Amino acid sequence: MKHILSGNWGVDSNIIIYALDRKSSFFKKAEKFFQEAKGINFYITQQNIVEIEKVFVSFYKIKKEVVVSSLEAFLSAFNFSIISPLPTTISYYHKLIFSYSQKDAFFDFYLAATYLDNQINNLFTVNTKDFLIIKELQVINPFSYF
Amino acid sequence: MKKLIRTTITVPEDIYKQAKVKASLVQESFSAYVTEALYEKINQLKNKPLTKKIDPKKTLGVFSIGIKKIPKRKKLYETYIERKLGG
Repeated sequence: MKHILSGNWGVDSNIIIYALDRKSSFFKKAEKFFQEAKGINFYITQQNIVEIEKVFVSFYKIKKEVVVSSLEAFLSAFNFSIISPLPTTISYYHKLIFSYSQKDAFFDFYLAATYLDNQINNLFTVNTKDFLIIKELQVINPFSYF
Repeated sequence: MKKLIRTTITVPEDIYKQAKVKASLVQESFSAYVTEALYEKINQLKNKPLTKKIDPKKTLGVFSIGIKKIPKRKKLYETYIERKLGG
């Protein structure tokens, strides 16, 4: 497990959603993971932030202001660096969609391209299956270790 | 004119690359871009009282919903696109 508790890692939306909801099915695992993850440099894309806010606001009807401030506090407390698509990310994304024949994976591939284009080659996600095909990216479900 | 100095710093490669790209996007030299960023940072620290660090544990589990399964990313975007395109 040591190898996942250090280095630069992107974090997918699902991990953070489970970590923010204390009654979620993975909360205990998420809590333990973040408490033990002191050696990790966390990264998150702007897209992930939008997705997390969308889930809490649109699906679970939590006030926008509450969601935004709670998420900001969480990201700041765990020293997340926010990354954005670069001008070159669209080319990286096209390279991925033409290299791997994954049907309907446009949004996952654009997310992967954003991380990879920002030199982040590791990703924590619950849905590892969605990214496993991309050889450039190391994908791990941290909850399987706790 | 202010006195300029030449210095060497060590920064993560990804930050360096992003800064280079952003500097070129705003048509500034890398030096001018870094100077501006440092100036902003210094002023930010001057103007803002240092806030107490948030206890990370307190930021976990702030909602009490009971989420079992999160919709896939594809679903999140496609529902929106279908609505926008009238599908």
